[in-house]
Amino acid sequence: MTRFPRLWRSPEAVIGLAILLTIAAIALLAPFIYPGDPHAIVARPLIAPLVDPAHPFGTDRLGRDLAAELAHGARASLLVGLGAMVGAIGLGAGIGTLAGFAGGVIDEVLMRITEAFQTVPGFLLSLALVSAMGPSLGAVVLAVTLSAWTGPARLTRAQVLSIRERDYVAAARVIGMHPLRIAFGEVLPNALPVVLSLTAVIVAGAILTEAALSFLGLGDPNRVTWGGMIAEGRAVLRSAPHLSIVPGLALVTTVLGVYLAGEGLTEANSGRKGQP
Amino acid sequence: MTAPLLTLAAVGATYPHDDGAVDALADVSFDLAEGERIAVIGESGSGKSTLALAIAGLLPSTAVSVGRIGWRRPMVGGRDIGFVFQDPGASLDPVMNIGDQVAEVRVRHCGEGLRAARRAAIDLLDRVRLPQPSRLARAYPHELSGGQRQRAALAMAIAAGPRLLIADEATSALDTVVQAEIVALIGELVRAASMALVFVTHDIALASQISDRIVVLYAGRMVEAGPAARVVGAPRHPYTQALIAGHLDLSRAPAFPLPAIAGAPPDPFDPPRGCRFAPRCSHAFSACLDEPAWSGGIGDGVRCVGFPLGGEP
Amino acid sequence: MSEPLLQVDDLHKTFDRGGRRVRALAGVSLDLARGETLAVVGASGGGKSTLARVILRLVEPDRGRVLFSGRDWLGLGGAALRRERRRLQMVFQDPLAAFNPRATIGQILTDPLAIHRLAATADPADAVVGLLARVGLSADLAARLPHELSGGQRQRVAIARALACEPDLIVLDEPVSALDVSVRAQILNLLHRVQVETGVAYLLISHDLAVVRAMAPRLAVIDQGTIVEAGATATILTSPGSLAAQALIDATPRLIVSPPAPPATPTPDGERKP
Repeated sequence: MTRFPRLWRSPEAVIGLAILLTIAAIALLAPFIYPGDPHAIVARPLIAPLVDPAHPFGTDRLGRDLAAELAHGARASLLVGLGAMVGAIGLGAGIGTLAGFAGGVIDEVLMRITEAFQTVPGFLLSLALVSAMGPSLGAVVLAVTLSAWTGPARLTRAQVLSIRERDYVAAARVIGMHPLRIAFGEVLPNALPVVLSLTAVIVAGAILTEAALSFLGLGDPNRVTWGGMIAEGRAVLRSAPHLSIVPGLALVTTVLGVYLAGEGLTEANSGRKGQP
Repeated sequence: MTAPLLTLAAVGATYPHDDGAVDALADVSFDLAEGERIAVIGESGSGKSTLALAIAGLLPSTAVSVGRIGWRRPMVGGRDIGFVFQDPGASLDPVMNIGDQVAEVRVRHCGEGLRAARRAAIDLLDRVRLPQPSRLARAYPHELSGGQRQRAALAMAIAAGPRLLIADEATSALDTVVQAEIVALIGELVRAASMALVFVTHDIALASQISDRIVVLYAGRMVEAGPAARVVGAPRHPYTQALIAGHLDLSRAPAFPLPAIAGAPPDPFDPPRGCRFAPRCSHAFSACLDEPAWSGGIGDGVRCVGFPLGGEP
Repeated sequence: MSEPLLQVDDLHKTFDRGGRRVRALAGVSLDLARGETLAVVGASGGGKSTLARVILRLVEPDRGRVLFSGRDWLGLGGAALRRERRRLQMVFQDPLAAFNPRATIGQILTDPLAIHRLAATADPADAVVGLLARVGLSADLAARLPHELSGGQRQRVAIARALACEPDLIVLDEPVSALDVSVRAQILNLLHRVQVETGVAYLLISHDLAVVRAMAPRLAVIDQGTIVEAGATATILTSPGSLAAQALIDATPRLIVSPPAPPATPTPDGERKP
């Protein structure tokens, strides 16, 4: 009940949420603000930013509007971030809950698998996967999910191990509740708040991984992405640095917003815990 | 007659909170003589821990305290006032052995060297009846049982020879048998050094065993106080009467239904108007809607409108 | 003689605590008739909690036998065990810890009804209201969360949850020791009334002999994993035959009622009186 007032009292959270909401609004409204293909050539190439009011961020080497590209690029970044968050936390929480609650052989097997994934560098895994599956947004989300689920899995398992010893879990067994329902209905919801503190790291990591893959030319070729824009600008980095700097700043701002909002949410949650 | 060791005059405390301040304690006045043993009894939300902390000067900095706590002479916390908490973990350092923790008090407050302090520590551990004190002095808190930890905490509390020992529910987390041992030990230590004692508890039977005087708190108000024999033998406040009537005795099987107080202690955020016990009191009448005044002497009286009006209510 | 409801025979359980082997149960046997209250008392670490948890099938014993209504209780597993669990319920010491902090009281009481398809009425909400009324709580508590209730209210809900299962036996694990003194008698009265109304048997786990004296005509004293003494509560309390029982009796706080002091003689420091 007091979560939201508390959230508003933390300036980081307010700034973070404001940034995220702005970017989300831009992403959602991009097709209306900049209808048509953002890849379309609309003006002469390499207009500098803040010169032509019709193209506030200027144009790129081919004369495409940087502002339009930026707005459409936000969609890719946010989609990947959200998709990877749902994927990684969903998969991780599921496997962590099973491992922690079942214990024994199931726990051993699941945790060895988790460790196997942890030993593979996440970005290499993403590279390999996207190369194999072909560049698409779905492939990027899957790749990031597969490299990011181990953190939530281990954290969930640790939480579940402590929660399953609580009296209310014993009480659920005493009334004859099915073990799977106990695991996912009684234990997991109480483990989740702690696990959700990983959200910011996962979302930010996913956005950066997507950008890196696009920069390497492994992004979805049918979509504008900020990573792709930075790669585009690389060729004219000296003469027109804004082509890389503007999407780079967008990336930094988004990641910052994610971290600030995540921090604020975690703080609001933990602050509430002490209350009766 | 010598001046009391401690004089409380209209002591109270409120805790500011998001949803308004909690009036945790108000208008507590009593004296404590040298060597006197006072039991403060109350249940959750009674303000008993707040009172114990206020006397020791340990209230959290956010609390707003009122009233006057006067000492006959200047007292130093940790030296002249020993404090034992319900959870001995609160006063024991998990990464320092028991002997050194007790010795530290001696070094800080008695000006002893470390060697002498360590010898004194072993002697103190022996006084609180820890078995093999010279061996246990090298043990860490987690290696001790709950009762042993409480003994160690007691050794720290009395290490500097305090004039007042405050025990805040010091035995409530313990087993019945261990609790009885610790209560007996506190009684002996206090008597041997003629220390004053403030024994905070929820158990009126325990209070009657260890104290000369009983102070009864309910929902942040001092509802009754007096010599232990008088409070137990002829309680005046309906709450005290109900507590004593509801005490279960081993000597006979009680008949059901047991005498019970209806309801529950009030919500500290929303206490009832007037007498805070009135909503649960079988004698309550319209005058109970006004805050009742204290009637009687300092440390011996009752806060109940019904008492002076109707004699024994 | 009718068959006992619960027969516990030679239970053993050893825990491994950080390399140390702790013998919690070393051959515990007892039995309990239908509708009876048996108290198991003992110091903490004596094995009484482990005994309760083994009987409730929360902990598996190393060896021993438990018969519940004449059937092998330890041999049950899976769905059969979950179905039979209905008949053996528990009320925990700390009523706050015993509830999922995110579930409303209504959900908490609906669970056992739904699991065992016990709702007498079509609408589970009506059944919840009925359960709340049986333990003396008003219907509007159904929408609240456990932490919004007082300790006594929570323990009433815990009793209601056990009752929802229509059990034959309820294990009461220190049912009032976490409650405020002024609330304990209410809960004991409720437990007594429930037993009179339903004929449920109680296994009362406690270290508080005063509560045992009030609730249980029969008593077993457990110490270091074995029952050292068992019999009628009144007999054991007046003439204990074991050191463990004697120690518990001696340690139980007694109200020292001396005749009230004579009225205070007027003293020279009369100016201190207000």
